[in-house]
Amino acid sequence: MAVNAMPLRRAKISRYWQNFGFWNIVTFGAFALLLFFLVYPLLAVFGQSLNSKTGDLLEGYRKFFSQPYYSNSLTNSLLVSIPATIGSLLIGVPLAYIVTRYSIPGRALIRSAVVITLLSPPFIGAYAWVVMLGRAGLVNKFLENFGAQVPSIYGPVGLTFVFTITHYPFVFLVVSSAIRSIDQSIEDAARNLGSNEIKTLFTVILPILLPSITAGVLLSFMTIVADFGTPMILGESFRVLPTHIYSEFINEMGGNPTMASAMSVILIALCLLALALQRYFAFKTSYNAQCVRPLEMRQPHGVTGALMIIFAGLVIFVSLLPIIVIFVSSFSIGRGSIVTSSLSLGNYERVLYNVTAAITNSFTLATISAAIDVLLAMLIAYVLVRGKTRWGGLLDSLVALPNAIPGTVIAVGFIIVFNQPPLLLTGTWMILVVSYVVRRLPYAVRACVAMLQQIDSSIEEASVNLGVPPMRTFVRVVVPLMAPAILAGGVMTWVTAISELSSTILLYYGPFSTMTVKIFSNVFTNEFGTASALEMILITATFVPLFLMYRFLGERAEQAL
Amino acid sequence: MTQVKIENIVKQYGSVSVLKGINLVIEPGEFFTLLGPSGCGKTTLLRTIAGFLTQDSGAIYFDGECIDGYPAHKRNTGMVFQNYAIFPHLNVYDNIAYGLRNRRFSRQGIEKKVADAVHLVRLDGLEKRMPRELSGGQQQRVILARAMVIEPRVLLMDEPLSNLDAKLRVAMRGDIRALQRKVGITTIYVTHDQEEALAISDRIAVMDAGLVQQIGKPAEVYVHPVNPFVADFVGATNMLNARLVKYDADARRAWFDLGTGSPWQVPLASAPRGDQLALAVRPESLSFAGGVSAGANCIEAQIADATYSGAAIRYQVRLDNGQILQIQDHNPDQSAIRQLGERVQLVCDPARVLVFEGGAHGG
Repeated sequence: MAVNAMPLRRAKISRYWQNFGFWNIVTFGAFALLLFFLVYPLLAVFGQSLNSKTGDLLEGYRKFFSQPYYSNSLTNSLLVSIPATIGSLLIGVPLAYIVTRYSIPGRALIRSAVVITLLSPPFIGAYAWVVMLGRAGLVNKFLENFGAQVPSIYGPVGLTFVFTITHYPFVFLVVSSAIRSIDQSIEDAARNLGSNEIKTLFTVILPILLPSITAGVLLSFMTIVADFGTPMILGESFRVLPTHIYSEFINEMGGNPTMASAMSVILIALCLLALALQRYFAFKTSYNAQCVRPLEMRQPHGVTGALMIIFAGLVIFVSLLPIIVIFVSSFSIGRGSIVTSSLSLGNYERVLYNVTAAITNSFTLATISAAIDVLLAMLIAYVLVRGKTRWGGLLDSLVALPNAIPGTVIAVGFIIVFNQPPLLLTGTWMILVVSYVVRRLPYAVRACVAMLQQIDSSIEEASVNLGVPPMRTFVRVVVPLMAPAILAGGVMTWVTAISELSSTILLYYGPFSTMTVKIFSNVFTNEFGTASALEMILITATFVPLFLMYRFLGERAEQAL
Repeated sequence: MTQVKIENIVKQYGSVSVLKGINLVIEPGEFFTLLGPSGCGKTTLLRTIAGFLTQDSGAIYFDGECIDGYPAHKRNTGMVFQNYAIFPHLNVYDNIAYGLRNRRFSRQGIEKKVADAVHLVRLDGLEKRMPRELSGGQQQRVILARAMVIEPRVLLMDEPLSNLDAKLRVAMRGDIRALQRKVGITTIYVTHDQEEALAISDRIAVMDAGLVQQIGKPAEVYVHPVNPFVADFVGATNMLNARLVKYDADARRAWFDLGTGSPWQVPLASAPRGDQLALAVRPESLSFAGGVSAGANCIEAQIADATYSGAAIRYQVRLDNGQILQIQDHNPDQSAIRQLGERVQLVCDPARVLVFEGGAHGG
């Protein structure tokens, strides 16, 4: 014993440095990054909300709840978010069940259309509906010839409609992946015990899906309530929390930073509540552990079958209509109204000539952000899954936090905090990259975590056993095996960063404006043609990588969403 | 060929002792098996030798050199994992060449070594296949080649056959043994399957509760187990509670009362301590007395159950005191198969009765 005391201690020390030193640095770095670029700005927002001249700390909140001018935006937010969430539930769940269980024609097309809807920026959908149903809209003009009127797309009703049609994909994707993890034997057992098809659906299948449905619905609520672009385009005088925060914050005359911050805190509270519930329900789904044989596909038949096909067809038609409209209007001539007979490439020429910088900026910023996110996600996922830190639980929650923080709020926080030395980031391109990196980190980390959980750690041990040191093993074995997740996470970050509006609109500075900012300002100046051309470029920029990802990864790609 | 010496290894997880002082010497070129139930510490010991775990105290020596200072990737042990741990992104060739590439061999050197290894495990022609295109047995052979091609000092195998079906398992263990003899590498093999351990090993260490219970050649462990645990774990055993009636020191013979039937006579080198004892009798050491009643070492019983397996038939018989015994009858004549409920006389080979001090656990 005395003889070997020395080598043993030396072994412990050297191993500590070789294996754990690096991962400790990663853990420390991840915490530092999230604390500095996420928690600190949020605390600053909270701090500013308590700032008052009269010494009454809660003055801002008192004012919020007592003055309808402010409290109305909360009521308005709930007034459209709740019906829209219910709407996305009523579309998402049946569509998921139909597409996953019935071999209706065009299933692959439906799935792609849903993913396309999910990943196109919601304000593009909003804008397309303005093109169709707005004051100078195609449909309105057409119907005016007959003296007919369509309900206004502006205001709460239009908002609810557009939110529903742009957010049901959240419910759809969560629920359809849950359906695919139910084993056929569960249904067989229920049928064997005497339940008919309908009864089995309601007493067995839906109860099993309930946690996933709840999780999907809360996810949908969270993104609706945080959405900025759609209410900005369709809301007009109907103000919701994100748009009110924005106008309160940028308004140089009579704007009130304290009120903007107080409203931000209330918006975060709403989102955090939804996130907490969503994580709780997502955690509860873990009971459907193993699926050996997925549910069998059925043939749609009879009236029910026809209704299913009509329902699915209608949903997909309405989902894809905005893209078709934008495509057509991008070739139209002139400003304002869309209705012209001749088509041209003039809009594209104008766009490529006039806003070259914005297009380049969008691509560059998205690429840098995606690269940084993927690198961080890879390392953080490894720390989390392989238990390289005892702070794993805290880190896991902190990494998921950006999901619940609306872009508008994080932008407000960034402006408060990074507006002065030592870290003067406002007015640089870096502030945009930092905001994209932090906000999209959860996607990339989740993709890498899911992948890593499927890689048995004995594969790494085998490599070490064959003489390859732990760090080189990470590079030579773990990274190649994580490649699909890295690709999926990167594409997701890229796609969502390039179409980001809510924080960009507050954080951008003249020379660093992006495509989304240009689209947005063109919509407000009624330059629909150029806006549409830019949108087509944006849509193509989103679809091409997604399409390639699906080609490479197939079914696995959807899991990454 | 390397000698492995394990000296007083202790490993604790919190307050749970997994290894409570293990001492082993594994001779160069030996095929040595760690046998025991799950949780006995055998895999922990193997992973400690590989360097994936660090012992709390004690030391491990390869040819007299203490290796505790070396991290896992410098120990030069070839490990075969239970779930294969094949690199799914590399083909057969690259899987096998993986360890060599890190050792700065020339291209030709690697090609030659891999080709030899592929040939050794009979995978010729499958070099470009991806792991998912291989059967379980082929994957197993890739792993074996991958572990052996780096010319490790010791080959470590962690239940390598547990994922294969019964027939393939028997075939593979023959292959592994033949390969090990040919290469002559010191091998430490972990299994919970006593039949596998008996078939494949030069020597076996039977482990339980973090301790080595017995070390010996397969036949020694089977025929002369040192305690009831080993007797019961290695092969099936009937345990009978017995009381010492008398011991004849001149004849070196003891008489035991089993609480039913007449006392049994067992040759015994020395008088047992205490009078609460356990007799261990293998099912194949019992046979049916052909009609002769009340002979020496006889016991009366009733057939309670029978399991026919072709080459043999195993009966469960109930003694008059209610205890159940197992009997194995080889090559039974079809006409000699006993009926359920039939009363029988059992006779026991006295030379094959083992006496343990301190009574049987349960029954």
